[in-house]
Amino acid sequence: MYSLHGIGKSFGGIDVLTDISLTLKPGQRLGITGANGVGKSTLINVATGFLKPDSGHIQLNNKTLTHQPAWAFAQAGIQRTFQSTRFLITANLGEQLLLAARAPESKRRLAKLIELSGLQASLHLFPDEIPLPMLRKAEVIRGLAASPEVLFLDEPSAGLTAIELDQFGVFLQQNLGQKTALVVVEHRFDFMLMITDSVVEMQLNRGLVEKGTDVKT
Amino acid sequence: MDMYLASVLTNMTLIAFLALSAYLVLVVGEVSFGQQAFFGIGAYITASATALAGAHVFWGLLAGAIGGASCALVLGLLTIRLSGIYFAISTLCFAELLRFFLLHLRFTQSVDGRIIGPDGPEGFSNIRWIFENNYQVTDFLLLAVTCLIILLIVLFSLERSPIMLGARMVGNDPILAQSQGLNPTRYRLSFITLSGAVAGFGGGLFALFNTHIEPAMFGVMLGIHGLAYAVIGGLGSAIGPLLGVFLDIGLLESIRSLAAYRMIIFGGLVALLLVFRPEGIISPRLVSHLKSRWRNRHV
Repeated sequence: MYSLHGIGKSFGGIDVLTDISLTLKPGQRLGITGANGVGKSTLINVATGFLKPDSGHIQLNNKTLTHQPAWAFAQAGIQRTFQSTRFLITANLGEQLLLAARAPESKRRLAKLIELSGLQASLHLFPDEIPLPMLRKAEVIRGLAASPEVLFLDEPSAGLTAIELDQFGVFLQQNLGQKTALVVVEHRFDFMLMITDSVVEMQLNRGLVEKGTDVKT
Repeated sequence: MDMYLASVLTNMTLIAFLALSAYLVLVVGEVSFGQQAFFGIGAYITASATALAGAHVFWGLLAGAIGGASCALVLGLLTIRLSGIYFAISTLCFAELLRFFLLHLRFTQSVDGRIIGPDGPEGFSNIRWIFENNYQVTDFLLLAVTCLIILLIVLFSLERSPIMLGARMVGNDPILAQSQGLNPTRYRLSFITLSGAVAGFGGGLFALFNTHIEPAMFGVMLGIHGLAYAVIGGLGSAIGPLLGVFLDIGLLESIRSLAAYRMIIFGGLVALLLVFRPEGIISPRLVSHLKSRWRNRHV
């Protein structure tokens, strides 16, 4: 169980996040939409430890993570992807994916995910030689290899065509597993409906507002 | 072996330690203009241990390496929040500070009518280990090369482990590294400390070989050369800095007709390489590419 309690964050007197609370159960799939500039990316950055909240606290399975550095969040099983994919361009993809899977169990999982994603042929390539849809998948695989508690996706649709996005969604659905909770920050609503159970909207100064729970049915 | 050749090769081997220490800092994404300080600390400590305290050379060199590593760790801790140009300036200041300290360091003893020990700007004379043990230049070359090979074996096994890839990630993109659960501070501190040990050890050998050391030897230009060797050689592998050393000392300094133009040619070479191969001759991409090709052929 991962939770944010009363998170607040301001930049130079401008309140970006005020009293945001959120609880994720294992396996839950949550979508977050919202207009530009309401603080969706800030929320992800706070939730994954890259920014420190001014108030509130962050807990994972009764352990408080609030003031831990970002790498401790990652080690605890809070994984994320970036709006523009982030890889080391001086090493080939295979090496980098292996770096994310240190335990033998993660290595097996990684091998399986690579096979399912069709990335084998790209493993010896450098990230800047690999097309974006493949890189998005690779980023998700990197996050999932160690079977994380929560996976945050920051606008995974950016730069993908409708067909590519659909394939990406199917791949996500099939490989998330029972344990991992998913949070997707997105503008593309069709994609959100496909991979999440519920969607909340983030509004300026109002935080997360329920937006048609169980929209699917 | 020709004496001249042997002394050039020894010189190259000793400077290779400095270049490798600069390389280790560059790998974690920082530029250090202060590696000559650790080289100097190692030289003074090894000289004091062997000539003043009469310690065995092994302990002398070990003390030099530990001295270099501890100073590097302290510098690393002091500059923990600095990066980029601010880190570079701090390392330069530290090295100059140390050089001024050595200029004022006087602790001499008279042994058998010889003055031994650091004597301010005059330096530390009569480091007679090499004579007492009847080492010829070629013998010393063998010793230095053996030490360098051992260091290279350590670095290559590091290169094969995920540690080096993690360090490169920390150096290239600390945010990415953190998202992968890597602690950038720990990587930086460990690599800076290791670089201090490598430079300190090399400095110790340098003191033994030179038999006389003085603060002026550990000036900024020494550090800049070490750094330049690592930069032009490339950050892809520990072979890179060695190639840089070979290009400068091996080709330019030792070929006597070129020696007078050495700094001009070397400076031009650095400029050209920075334009055409900014990641050095043996770049990380080249190494990664070769590795995966080699693996494909053998799977």
